[in-house]
Amino acid sequence: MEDNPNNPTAGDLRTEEFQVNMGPQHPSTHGVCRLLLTMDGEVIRKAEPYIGYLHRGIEKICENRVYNQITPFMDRFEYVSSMMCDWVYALCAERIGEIEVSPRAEYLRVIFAELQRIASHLIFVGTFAMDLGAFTPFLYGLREREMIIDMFEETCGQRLTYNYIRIGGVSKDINPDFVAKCRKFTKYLREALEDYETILNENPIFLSRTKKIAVLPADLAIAYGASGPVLRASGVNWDLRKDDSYGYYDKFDFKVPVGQNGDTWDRYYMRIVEMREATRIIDQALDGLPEGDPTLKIKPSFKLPEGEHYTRIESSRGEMGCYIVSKGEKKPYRLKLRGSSFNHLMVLPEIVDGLLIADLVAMFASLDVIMPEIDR
Amino acid sequence: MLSDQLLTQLLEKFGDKTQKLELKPVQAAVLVQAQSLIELVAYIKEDENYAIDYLSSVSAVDYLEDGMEMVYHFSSTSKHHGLTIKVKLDRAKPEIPTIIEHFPAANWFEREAWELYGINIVGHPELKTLLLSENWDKGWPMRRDWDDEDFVRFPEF
Repeated sequence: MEDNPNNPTAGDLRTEEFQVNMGPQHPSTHGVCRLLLTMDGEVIRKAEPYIGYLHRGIEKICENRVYNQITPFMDRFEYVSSMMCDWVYALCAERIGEIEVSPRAEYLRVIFAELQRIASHLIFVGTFAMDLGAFTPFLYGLREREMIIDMFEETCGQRLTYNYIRIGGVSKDINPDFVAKCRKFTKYLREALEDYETILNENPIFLSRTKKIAVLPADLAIAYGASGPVLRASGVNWDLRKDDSYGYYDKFDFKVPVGQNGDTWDRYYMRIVEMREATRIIDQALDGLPEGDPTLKIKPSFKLPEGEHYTRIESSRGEMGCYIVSKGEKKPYRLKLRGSSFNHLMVLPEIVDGLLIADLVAMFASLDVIMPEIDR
Repeated sequence: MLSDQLLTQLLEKFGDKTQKLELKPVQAAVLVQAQSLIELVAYIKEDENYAIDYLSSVSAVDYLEDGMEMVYHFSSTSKHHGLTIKVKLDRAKPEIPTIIEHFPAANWFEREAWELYGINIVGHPELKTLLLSENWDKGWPMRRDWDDEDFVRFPEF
C-alpha cells in the first residue's frame, strides 16, 4: 500500500487472522464446550473444539459396579434422552446373557423410546429457534414436552433420569389410563406440529439463516461417522431401526425421512418429520400392546456369561453404542459408550470454513450436540 | 454381520497376518497384526464386495497380563453388514498405527485411547489431551491396574 499524505498511518494498515474463544460458558454451545475460532474479520477460518469439561469417568465407574447398578449411570450419560441410554445398555447385556424379554416389555420400550425421541426433538426445535432469535417455539416445545414428562413421571416416578428400561424388561407396568392419555397426546402433537411449521417454515428470516448454510456432504458425513438426523439430512438413508433392527421395530410401519442438501435447514426439518413418524409408531404400538407382565424377574446381582458385544440403537441424536466385555463376573470387564454427538462435534471443524459466527451458532444448534454424551 | 463367504475370502487373502475370532454372541471378527492393520482397513474400504465405509467406534481394552487390545467396529452403509477388527498390543510398549487416512472418524477415538490407556498412536497428527485436563499427570486412568489415593473401589457384594 502506498503512503497516503492525507492519512499518515494508512501505510501501516494490515489485516491478520486472530483467535476468539467461544465458550466454555456460552449459551449457544448447549453445555460446556469451548471452540477456539480463528477469524478473518467476521469470517471463521478454523474452529477447534476443546471438550472434557463434563468428563465424569462413567466408563471407569461402570467397571466397578454390578450390572443393575449401572443403569442409573446410563441415565446420566445422555440426559436429554435417558430412555435410549437405558435401552442400549439393557439390550447389550441381554444379547450377551441371552436374556428373554416379554412382548409387553418390548412394546413398552418402543412406546417410551419414541416418546423420548419426541421429547428430545421438541427441545431441539425450541433451542434451535431460540439460537436463531425466535423465542416462542421454545415455549411451545417445553409445553408439549411437559406432557410427555408427566406421562413418564406417572409411570416410573422420574422426570429426567428414568431408570425405567432395565436388563430383562422394564421396571414398572403402565397405569390403566396411560393408553388413553398417550393416544390423546399423539393426536394433539400432530396438530401442534402444524403450528411449529407455520411459525418457522415460511419465516423469511428463519429460511435465510438456515437454507444452504453449513452444508455437510454425504461422503464427509459417513467418513466422520455422523449418524441419525444429521446423516439423513445429507441424503444417506441410514436408520438403525430399519438397517440394524432391534427390539420390535420390524413390526411397525414407518417412513425414514431423507434430506437432500445436508444444510442446516434439512437437519431441522428431518426432526419435524421424525416426530410425526414417531407418533405413528406410538399409535401402532398402542394398538398392538399385548397383555402380560413386563417387569423383570432377575436378581439384584447376577453374573453374565463370558462374551462381548457392540450394540447400537437409533437414539434421538443418532447411533448410540454400548460395548460390553464380560468375563463371566457380576461386573462388566470393560464398558465403552459411544455417543453420536462425539462424531458430530468431530466433523464440525471440517465445515466451518467461511461461515459467520451467527451461522456457526445456527449450525451448532442444528447438529444438536449434547456435551455429557461427548465427555462421558 | 459379514457373510461367512466374505469373511473366509478376507482371511484367505491376508493369510498369516489375520486370524478368525470366535466371539460370543456370534459376530464376524478378525484378529490382525498391528503392522497389517492399515493394509486390511484400506482393502475392506476399497473393495466393492465389502464396501465398509462406516466406523462406529474404537475401544481399547486392557487385559493386564494378556496384553491390550484395540477393537474397531465397522459397518457398511450400502451393504448393511458389519465387521469387528481386533489388534493385540504388547502392554509394555503398546503401539498401533493410526487409521485416520482411511477412516477420519477414528481421530478422537484414537486420541482417547492414547490419553486414557497410554497407547501410542503412530502417525496421529495431533496427539494431545481430549477428555482429561491439560495438566493431568496421574498416568492412564482407564488401565485396570491404575490406582490413586482418591480412587475408591466399590465394595464387593
